Amino acid sequence: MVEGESEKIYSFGYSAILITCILSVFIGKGNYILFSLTRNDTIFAALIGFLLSFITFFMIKYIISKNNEEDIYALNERIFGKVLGKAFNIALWIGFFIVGIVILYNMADFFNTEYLPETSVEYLKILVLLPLVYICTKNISTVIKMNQIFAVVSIILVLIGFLGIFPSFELRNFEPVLSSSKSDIIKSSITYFILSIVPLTALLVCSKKNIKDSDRLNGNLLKSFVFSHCILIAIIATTILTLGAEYLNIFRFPEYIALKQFSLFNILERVENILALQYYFNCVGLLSFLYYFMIKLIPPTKYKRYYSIVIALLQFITTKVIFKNTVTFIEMIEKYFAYSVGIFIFLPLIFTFLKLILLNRKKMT
Amino acid sequence: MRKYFLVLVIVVVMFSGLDNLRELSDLAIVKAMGIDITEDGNYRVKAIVLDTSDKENKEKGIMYEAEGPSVHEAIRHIVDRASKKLYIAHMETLILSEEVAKSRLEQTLDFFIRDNEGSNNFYLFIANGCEAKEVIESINKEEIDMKQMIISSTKYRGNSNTKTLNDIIKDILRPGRDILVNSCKVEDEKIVISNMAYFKNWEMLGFLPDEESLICNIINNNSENTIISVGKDEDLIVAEIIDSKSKLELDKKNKQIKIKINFETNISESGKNFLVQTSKDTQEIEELLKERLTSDITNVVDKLINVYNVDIIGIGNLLYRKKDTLFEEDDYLKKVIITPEVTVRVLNQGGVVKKW
Repeated sequence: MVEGESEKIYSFGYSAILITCILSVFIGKGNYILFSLTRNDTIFAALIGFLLSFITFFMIKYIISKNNEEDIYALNERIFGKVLGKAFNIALWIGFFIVGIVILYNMADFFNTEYLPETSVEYLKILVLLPLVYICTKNISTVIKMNQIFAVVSIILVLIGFLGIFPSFELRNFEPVLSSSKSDIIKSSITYFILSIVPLTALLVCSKKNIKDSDRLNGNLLKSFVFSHCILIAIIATTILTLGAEYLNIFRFPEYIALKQFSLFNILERVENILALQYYFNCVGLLSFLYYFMIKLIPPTKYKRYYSIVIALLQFITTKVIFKNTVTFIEMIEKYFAYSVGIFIFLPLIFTFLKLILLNRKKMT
Repeated sequence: MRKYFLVLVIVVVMFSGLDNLRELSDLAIVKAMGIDITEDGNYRVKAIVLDTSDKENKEKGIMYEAEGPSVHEAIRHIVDRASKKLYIAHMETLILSEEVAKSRLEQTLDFFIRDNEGSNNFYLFIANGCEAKEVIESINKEEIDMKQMIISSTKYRGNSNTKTLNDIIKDILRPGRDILVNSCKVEDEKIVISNMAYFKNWEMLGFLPDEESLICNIINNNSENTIISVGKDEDLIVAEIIDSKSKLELDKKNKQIKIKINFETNISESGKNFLVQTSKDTQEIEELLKERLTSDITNVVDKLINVYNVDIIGIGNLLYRKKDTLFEEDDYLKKVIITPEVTVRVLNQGGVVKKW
């Protein structure tokens, strides 16, 4: 990876990462957790979660605005000291590693379940990891440009999907409104809020100085954040409206099943596999960013270009050891995924944020 | 680095084991499938597979039959005969025998729901008074397009519906809702669309008479066009219902459900005593049609509740959706007051303004 001038990026591309990353964290796994908790009320949980996620958004915005020169790793080491800073950085690294293995296995599992049931999951994982390893040998601007392209393609595919599924909408699928228990809705909202932290925190891997038009950063970030959540909530609503509370709950990938209802003027049908490609683009987009995030923590040596291979291998082995099959995977993401994100990513982020506030107050006094 | 990657990519692509790769010629594309239960309790699957050979006359499909203890095994046993694996993504029709529908519907459909290749957009039929195998043989012999048959029947008769397997499963899963499924039978070696089968909790209970199926389809918004007649001979009036829109409304306070249906009709036949010249004539006909439809709906709803004991029109589902506590009671159907509110509009008298 080349540091310095070649890492210059534009705020638009930097903000567009949020679209691919938010969609990939939720589609196929996050939404599954939400649907199993609150079924047709997931739409309300998502709306509450979205409002809550503004907390993280403003925290991230604050950290970016108060720190022009450093990425999150350097910042943590500066404000907490070497030992504590490193500890927080390692926590973040573990958090992103967990998110990485969940996304990797989920993507391979999706392809295995819906596209290639006779093909080994291990082969599918290798197929996903290969381009990732290659992308991560490039610099951040390449990763961001790739994400930007993926974001545009994803949005186009999502919009085409909406258009084709629209005739299958049944408004009664939203009823009975608010039938889930209050505690489930709160749990679901918090899960949404916690999962939405991942993409935002990943943004901190770049320092503000690398962004060419940093004056437009705030506006672009806000637009991208709101837009990506609107798309996500629209996907959740579409899935509920198409399948209904009872039907969507029997499937592992309800969004894909909803896409199977796609019919454009009774002419264009059975294109769910093409439309579902956006899921692949989003996941590769987020994974590339996560890999970049993880590589950045490892001190550079002459073997730096092999770091991505090592991380990919680690992820490959970890998924094989931890997730014995789809059932264990589902059990684990339902039980531990949100907690892992909360503990390893959100907690260090809160400490960084609070410490920055304290330091700034001291400066002012 | 690039070289290594190139080698890696080639290795993965060449030896990736993308085992799902199948050439078009390797696919046994299924057009229709029938499932029966044999005397020893096994599933018997009979499928029509599109003929992809170079033969000139290949309009008729090739039929394959196999048995197995499960649907999947029975389907897989066909490989021994067809030398290809059945490809059900383009299947249009699934015929189930009465026995399957009565005792093993959930288990049978489970295979199709799980199968990743299919989209479950095919039509489901129950073989009425015959085996599914006979229906499949007849479909192939007469080269019948069952999809077109059911679309036409729904569009012009209204006594069937175009619900696909997806829609049927969605309805079965909805709390407080029983379902109707199309049926067909073989008469003089020809396929005929027959009375709809009614189900309660994945179990087929019987077949509804034609008129009752029609009214249920109207209430469920599954029928648009049908014919209705009032009177006889000189007092005869026949109207074609060209559009109908139905809505269930719950009055929680009075435990009352209103079935509001708007019909739009055209006069297609009339006896000597009817002149459709003034708006008063039209009003009179509208009133007669309204009376007839109201009484039909009342009778059918009454029969559904008291004779068949099924909730085809989704009364329970409405109570559930509106969070009415009545739904939690076992006999909610008998406790709720159901009143039809029908409006009929005659739009056209067929261009005839005077008796000829």
